[in-house]
Amino acid sequence: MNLAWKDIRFNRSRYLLTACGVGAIICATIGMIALYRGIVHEALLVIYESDADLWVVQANSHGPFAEVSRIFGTLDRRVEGVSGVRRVRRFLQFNRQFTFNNARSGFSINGLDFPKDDGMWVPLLAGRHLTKGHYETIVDISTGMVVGDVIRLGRDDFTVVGLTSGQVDASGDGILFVTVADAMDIDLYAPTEIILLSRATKTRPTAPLPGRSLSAVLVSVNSSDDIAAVKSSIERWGDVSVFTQDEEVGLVLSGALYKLRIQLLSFVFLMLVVNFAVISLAVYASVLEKLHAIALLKLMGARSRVVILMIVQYSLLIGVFGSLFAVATSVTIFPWFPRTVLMLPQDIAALIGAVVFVCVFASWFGVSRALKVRAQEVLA
Amino acid sequence: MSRGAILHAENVTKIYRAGGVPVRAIHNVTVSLYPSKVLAIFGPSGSGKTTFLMMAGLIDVPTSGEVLFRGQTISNSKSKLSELSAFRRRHIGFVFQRANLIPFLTAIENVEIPLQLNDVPQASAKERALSLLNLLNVGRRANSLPQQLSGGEQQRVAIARALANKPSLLFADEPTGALDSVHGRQVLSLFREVADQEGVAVCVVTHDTRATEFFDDTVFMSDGAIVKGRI
Repeated sequence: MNLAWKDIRFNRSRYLLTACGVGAIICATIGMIALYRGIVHEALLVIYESDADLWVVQANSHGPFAEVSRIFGTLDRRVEGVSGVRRVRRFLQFNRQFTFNNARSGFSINGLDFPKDDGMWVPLLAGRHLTKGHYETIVDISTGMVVGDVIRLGRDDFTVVGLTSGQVDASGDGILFVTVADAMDIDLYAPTEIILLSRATKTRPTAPLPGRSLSAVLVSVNSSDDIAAVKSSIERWGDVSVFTQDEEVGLVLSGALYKLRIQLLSFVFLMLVVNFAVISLAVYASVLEKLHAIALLKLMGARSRVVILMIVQYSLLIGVFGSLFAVATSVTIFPWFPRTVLMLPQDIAALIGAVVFVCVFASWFGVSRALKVRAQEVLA
Repeated sequence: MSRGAILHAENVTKIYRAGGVPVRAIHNVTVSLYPSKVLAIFGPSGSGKTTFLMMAGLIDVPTSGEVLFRGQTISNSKSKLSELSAFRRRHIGFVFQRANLIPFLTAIENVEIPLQLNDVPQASAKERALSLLNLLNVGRRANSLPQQLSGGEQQRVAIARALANKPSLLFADEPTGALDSVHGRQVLSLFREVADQEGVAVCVVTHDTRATEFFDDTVFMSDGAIVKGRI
């Protein structure tokens, strides 16, 4: 006979309220972990999807994601001449605020090196990939645009030809894929008034480099054995820095995301402590309520393990139901969140494992109180 | 020790410490329990009846003296309570003034508990519990929670629970205290039946001297000592 289950059956409402409270805390914890995973996923999405072996960026910078990187717009031609290089693509990505449907929104402009890269790797929900060198864009569904919409970017109108999903930058802004030539124009765009003022003061309105600039040049090598050699060759130029894909990922994780990760993990730990306190209190209160029944069980000769098992099982059942409630709630509500909330099965499994540990540990207070109960107390 | 006694308490003394002051609850009490016999221990409140029940029922250990089961010493001042619980589980049933049923278990589950503590398979435990409840005329309330039962029904369930393990000893502490005279007599009559039909040695602690016809032996206690009775 499972005494814990019988007790729960008797005090159903109280148990459900406790388990739902614990579940809400677990749900919030899952949310924080999943939010962190989502942020990492978004931050690394372009790096992985670009599938470049090497990233050539501004000298002495850790760009283009950890900090701003500006390199000459013609650097790709130089890189093409390096032995071992199979493919070179220009990369330009920046964030801008644009007005669409009378609403101001933040978008990320990502330049595809058309026609070398027509964005065939971008998964489409509707429409087609880029077929022209100018004024076409593929947009993420989070931008709110649909195929056929027209948006003014810089001084030109762009037609949405393709609709994709899950393509966002590190700040969660939906990506607009355009050709790199168009992206350069959008990047350099300045209102007429600024140009006139600049002419009057004989300064250039933008562009720290002469001509049009890029964020990075993406390099694919002939074989993985060539990566180190090509990297070394390019680095010898002195005017650029070169990172492998793994190094680029490391820069993102150890840079902008490091503090966020520490903060979120601290919150997860705090949530587990709160869970521990709530479960401890619930189990202890339940034990106090059952002291007479425990004394009676001892009078009938119950072994200590019968009492311990009853309390630990009660605690575990709170954790199990709480976890089920948390997972069900998370799966239902998190997909509606504006930012990517990435729930990985291994994260949820690890969290449930931690909750089980917390439940067992939390039942200790109740167990220690129950073990002090003497059979004589039935007659008291 | 008296011949044929299943349990014999020999010169049992219990001294408690209350606020550092020793208090003698019972002093040199010698009592024997016999199979198929019902012993009543009478006495006013504070006379030491319940303390004696705790010593004889192996709920507590005496300060001096000893308790023998079938001639073997089972409890004395050196005994550990943890060792006595296994003996209680197998050989002793208890009934109290209040039914003391576990509130979150149904009547039949309350009766099953001592069986399951003795590792009786679930099906057999359920069968035995139901037959006891039927025997005590509360079978139809088997699936009711204690709070849904009357006082008399609760006490019958408590008796069924005390008999579940076919104990050789049954201790009852003021079993009729919370019942009216009709139900009180019914309970005492049940003890009589249990002793006669199952051969159980029954010890009833009570201050109610009205229903003496159910008892084979009587003992009177006052100030922690036996003052009158046939032992």
